[in-house]
Amino acid sequence: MNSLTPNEWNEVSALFEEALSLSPSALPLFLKVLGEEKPHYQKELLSLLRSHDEARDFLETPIGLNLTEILAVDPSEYFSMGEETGDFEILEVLGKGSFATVYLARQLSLNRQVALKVSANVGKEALTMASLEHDNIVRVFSESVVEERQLRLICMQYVSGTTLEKILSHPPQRDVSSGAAFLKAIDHLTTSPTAFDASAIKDREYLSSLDLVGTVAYLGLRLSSALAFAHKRGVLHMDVKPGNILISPYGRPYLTDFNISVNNLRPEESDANYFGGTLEYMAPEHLNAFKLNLTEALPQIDQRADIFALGKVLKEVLKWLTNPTSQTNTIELERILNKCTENKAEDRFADGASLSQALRGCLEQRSILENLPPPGRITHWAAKHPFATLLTLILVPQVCGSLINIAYNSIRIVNHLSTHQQEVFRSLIPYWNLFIFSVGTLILVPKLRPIASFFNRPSNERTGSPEFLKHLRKQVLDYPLWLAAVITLCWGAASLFWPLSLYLLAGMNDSHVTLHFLISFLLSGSIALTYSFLYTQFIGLRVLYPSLWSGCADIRATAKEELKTVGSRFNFFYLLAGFIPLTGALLLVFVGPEELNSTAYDTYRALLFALIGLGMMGFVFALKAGRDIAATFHTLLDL
Amino acid sequence: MEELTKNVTQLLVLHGQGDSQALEKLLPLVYQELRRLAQSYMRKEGSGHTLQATALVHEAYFRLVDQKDFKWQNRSHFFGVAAQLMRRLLIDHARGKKADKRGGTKVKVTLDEGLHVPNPEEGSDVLALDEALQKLSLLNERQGRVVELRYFGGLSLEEIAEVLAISPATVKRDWTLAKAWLHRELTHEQSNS
Repeated sequence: MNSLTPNEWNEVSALFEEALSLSPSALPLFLKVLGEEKPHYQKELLSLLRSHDEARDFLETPIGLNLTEILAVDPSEYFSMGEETGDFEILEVLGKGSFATVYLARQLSLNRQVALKVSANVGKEALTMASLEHDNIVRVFSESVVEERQLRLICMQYVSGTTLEKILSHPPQRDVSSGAAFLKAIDHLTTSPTAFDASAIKDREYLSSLDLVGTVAYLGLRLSSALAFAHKRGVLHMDVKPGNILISPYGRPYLTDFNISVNNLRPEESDANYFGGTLEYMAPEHLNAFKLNLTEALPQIDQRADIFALGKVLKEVLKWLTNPTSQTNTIELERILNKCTENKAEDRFADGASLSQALRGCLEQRSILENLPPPGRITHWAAKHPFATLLTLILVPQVCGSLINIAYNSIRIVNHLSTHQQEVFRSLIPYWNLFIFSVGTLILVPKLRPIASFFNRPSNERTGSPEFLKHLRKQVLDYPLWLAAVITLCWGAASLFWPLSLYLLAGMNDSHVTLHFLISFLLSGSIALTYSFLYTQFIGLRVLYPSLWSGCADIRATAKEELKTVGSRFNFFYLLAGFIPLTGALLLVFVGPEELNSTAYDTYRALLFALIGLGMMGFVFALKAGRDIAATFHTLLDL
Repeated sequence: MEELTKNVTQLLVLHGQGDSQALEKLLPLVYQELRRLAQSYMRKEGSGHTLQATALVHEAYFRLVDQKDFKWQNRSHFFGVAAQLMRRLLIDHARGKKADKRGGTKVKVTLDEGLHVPNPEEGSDVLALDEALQKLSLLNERQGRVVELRYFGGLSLEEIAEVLAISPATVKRDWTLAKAWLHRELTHEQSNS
């Protein structure tokens, strides 16, 4: 009777319907004809018609009797306290979900406390259980079925403490650091007995010292490393949410409930498990999977759905801890969390490992900015107006160089020229300066523009792709070299222009004058070059460079690579800053003031005074900036 | 509650867009609401009170589904989900009962008067019905669904027609046949045992 195929059954259904529509007198004939054509259908039909007559009210009243009582009884109380089932003694209820209850139990054979998750063993085949050994993943020890009661038991590591979900619904204490507020919430919510763990005490100490960004990053780092661990083994969690994150009394987070997770390596076994998840933390592509059929949806969901969920969770923690009156800068952290929760999976971090890296980068960048030496007046001003400061610090040494140049020329060159030559010389000075300053500016300013426009943005928009920032860092570091080249070119051009133009326009043909022109421009040019180089390199490294690290995963290593030659550059130019003006002064003294008239003698004295003063300043600068730069290096490279 | 209503409505839409898997997410939400309702009835009316599935499901529907965003599809999907849930609950309960060695709760699950069979063990008739229903679903899935919606969900023939998007006449035909088949199946099994 039960051997009918669905097709045969459909035929029987049609016959049954036809039979019922017939008048009682026509039925016997119908059955007779059927019996001749299809005897086995006739038999089936007869038995159904008989049953139909008997059935009458059968099932007509929808079930309802006692339904209320069934529903009112809590079916999640599978066991009573103290009851033993298999290897477990039930101790107490730790938590209840819609379809499962978690008990604290003692595993008798090993005499240890475990968490026992009990659910009805119905519906789908056993779900994929991932047993992952990681410090921040709740270990699954075993899975078993109590046959006679159709219950599924999952034996897991017992983490006393509480869940992140409970912490987030508990208002944080405001008058302590974020890390301490987090710990206080844990203490307040932890009721279960806790085994003393001396090694984990350090976690608490560390956590209590953390501020807002530090606390969120602490949780983020541990959870993303747990995800990275699972992802590497082809396991997706698919239901990361505060309720699935346990927090030990020591503040250590544990990811749990990998049981709707999907093993990437064997998707055919666990298709249906893609459809767990909690709406609030579900990535758009995960949500979309509902609309598509499974084979289309499967390849679209990967570890980045977990990244999305973790990003959402961390944003909640950040929101929970944020004190409206605090000034903590969370821009970089928010940038990372926003990247986690991008709508398009390809815009997010590729996996747990790259999220970990980004969070570490964020912490590193913060610790660098915090540990930089306190800003002096110039540093402070440069941080506010980088473009103006840089321009000023480039121009001032040029003007300084020019003044020295003019003074030198007036005492060593002009008196060797004929009146005509002097006239030509003086008439050319404004044109030449206008020309050479314009050329210099035209070359130097455009080169400075990308740096300036970046630092003109409001501080929360000073970010970009890692490549862009790397490019900017390179520009900031290399700009002084470029500047040095341009300055050398300009002053070098002057030392050739003057003897040549005086020769061509006024017939000056004195090798003594030519030599002094060379000395004059070499001296003043070197001074202009050295000081502008030092200032720009100082501002670049001290002010601009440390704030160009947004999104960089490994700051120390990258900085080490990028700063390889910068240190020796500094050392060389410190020396020059003192050495060049003093050499100039020596030279002046050596030649002597004997042949000078009284006006020229005054200039001579002023020049000597300026050169020695510059030399002293150079040493003071080398000493002061040197210490500052050394500390900056120290912080950047973590020496 | 508003958040819950939003979620349920959204899931119903997803479910309605053709994927039966959204069901897995809906079930716990609907289940919780049904339980909550049942508990409040128990408090008000005492344990002897009988509440029909029909009333329970309709009330849960009004509480859980956004009425402003009303679409008849949502309504029928919801009923479909609730019926399936009721069936699951009863089966789980009956199973637990059958295996329960602790005595447990004093709830009795019996089918209505139409089935005059001795009751050898508590709960076994619901299980037998479930088993027979599974067999019927293999022969014709729609007929199985009609019984589920009618008996476990307490829906009227018209409402079932809406849920399954077929004509009420077809529902009636399916129902009549399924009833006859199930009746035969269950009495036959009883007489065998």
